[in-house]
Amino acid sequence: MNADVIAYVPNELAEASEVGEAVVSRHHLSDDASSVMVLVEPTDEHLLALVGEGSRDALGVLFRRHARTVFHLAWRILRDESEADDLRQETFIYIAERAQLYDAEKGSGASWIRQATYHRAIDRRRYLDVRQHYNSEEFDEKRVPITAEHSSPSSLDGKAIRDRLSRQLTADQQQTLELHLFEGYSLREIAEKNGQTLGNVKHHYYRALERLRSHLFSQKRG
Amino acid sequence: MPVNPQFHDEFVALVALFHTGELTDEEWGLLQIHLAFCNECRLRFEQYKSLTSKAIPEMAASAASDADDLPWESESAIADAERRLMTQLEQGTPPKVQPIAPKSSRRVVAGALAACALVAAGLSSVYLIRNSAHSPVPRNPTIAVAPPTGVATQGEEEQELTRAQQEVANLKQLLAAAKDRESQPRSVDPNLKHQLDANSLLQQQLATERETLSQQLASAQSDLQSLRDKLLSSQTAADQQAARAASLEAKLRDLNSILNETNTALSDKERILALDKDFLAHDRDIRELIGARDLYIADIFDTNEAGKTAKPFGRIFYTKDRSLVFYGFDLDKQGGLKQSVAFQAWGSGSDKQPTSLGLFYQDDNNKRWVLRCNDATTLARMNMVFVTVEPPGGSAKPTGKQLLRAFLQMQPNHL
Ligand SMILES: [Zn+2]
Repeated sequence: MNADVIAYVPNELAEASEVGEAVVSRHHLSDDASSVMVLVEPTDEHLLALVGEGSRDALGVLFRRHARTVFHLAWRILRDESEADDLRQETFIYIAERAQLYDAEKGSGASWIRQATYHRAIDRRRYLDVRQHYNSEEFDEKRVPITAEHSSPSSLDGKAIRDRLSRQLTADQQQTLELHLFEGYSLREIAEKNGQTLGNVKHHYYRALERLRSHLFSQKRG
Repeated sequence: MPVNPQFHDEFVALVALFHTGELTDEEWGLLQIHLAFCNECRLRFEQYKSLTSKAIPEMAASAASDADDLPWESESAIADAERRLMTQLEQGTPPKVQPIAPKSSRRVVAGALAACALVAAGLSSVYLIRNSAHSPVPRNPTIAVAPPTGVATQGEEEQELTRAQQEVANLKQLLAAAKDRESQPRSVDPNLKHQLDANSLLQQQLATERETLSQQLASAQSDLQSLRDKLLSSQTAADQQAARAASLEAKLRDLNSILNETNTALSDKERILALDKDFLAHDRDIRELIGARDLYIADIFDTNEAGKTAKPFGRIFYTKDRSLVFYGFDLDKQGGLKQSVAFQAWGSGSDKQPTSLGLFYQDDNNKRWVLRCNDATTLARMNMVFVTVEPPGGSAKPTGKQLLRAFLQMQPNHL
């Protein structure tokens, strides 16, 4: 089972090597040696398990490892450094409180942190755009429906998906998708920005998202 | 109870737009009703949900790391942030919580009235998407039936044929006369040498003339034959054209009747959609039911003699053991009904003893018949509901004609 998890853990983030932290951990791989103590770089999954048991040290390691990624992802959507900083604090408090709900079989620890960040940032952005009285569901492990888990692709490489998708979309479609999903612009704002009708922008968005959906779910069926 | 694929294509687009946070409350309400009926849309909805919750954050993070305008944080700024985080956790003070009202999937439809105008615009833009994606039903199929070519020239050909036949007849006459004259000199006195020479000259001339005439006759006859052939083939073509015109006309009639059926079906759907919108806007009970986890929605269809499904006849919103809202359409338009009757709903369970759920009343707009039941004990024991015609005021037991009957599946078909 461990091997499965490792197979789709994305490359550790650049920050991880800078921290260069090592934690003493029990290594289970060899059965013949009854109990070998080795120094290993703890995985995100391992750290999350420790955070779930209340370890602040493990949270600190996770924070130092992912602080910049979380900050950048939030900043890109919120376009404000102090908002992004607040959102990072809030995200890590969420992680501290909910780490025991994290399930390594559903995805890597880094993915889980990115998902928590992204959804909080989008919600915050929509809240700040007061014109939207309607919010996407807050990211919450408890609310992710079980049915969605069965159909979701197990391994997701954001960069690879973006690269493949970019070859299949028109410039308009790609721009709409990126502004809306990666930077949090509402479709109305995109329409104003580009001098297009809202209907057109919706159309681009719909086409792009549909392409993404069939890209991710059609290969599953085969 | 067949599925109710009302305006499926429009809803496909709404499903995609759901996670943009840009659906109006009314669109969201209508979408939820559609999702209760449409497996395809429900699957799509789950896929988009998974996409939004998992794949998109990965893509956004990847795009963020590629961005070249990111602010740079120093190590000490990150260390400071970590200290603040730990302090905050120790103090147990809640973080700067977003003042967002807790939202569940139960987005109660509110302010739907205000949204109405917007929705009309929204739906019409979605409609555009659909129209550009699929070729629409032909509204007015018209087929230009061209007159069969060749028919117009038929008269000329006949005239030509007559002329040719006349020419052949003339030539035959001339030939016969020539033969006559050729044979005549033989009866003349053979002693007259001069006469003979003259005769022989004449004979040669006649032979030549005859030869020429024979050639002309042959050629005229072949022309005649080809004209006959031509006439025959143009008649065949004319027949084919006529047959084709007839089949096109038949096809046109078929298309028109298909169009009429489609239009009727469409206007039924439009009627239901209008009613959906109406009760989302006006009916508080329905607004509260939408989003309930165990909500079951069913349409009841009338079945006509041909076994074809006819107009939708009623709709039930049912949450087990809690509430049942029953809408009936056109209950009073049944044939053979007396002037004043009541429509009474009955629930029955495994004990087969029907319990009255009450009488239907007409809503303010007189558009539909409504019945509500919130009696938990009655609801708990029933698995079937039916409607009968009863005398005004209702009856203690069902006595009249049964209008509709629906079995209540215990599996909620709602999200
Ligand atoms: Zn559908």
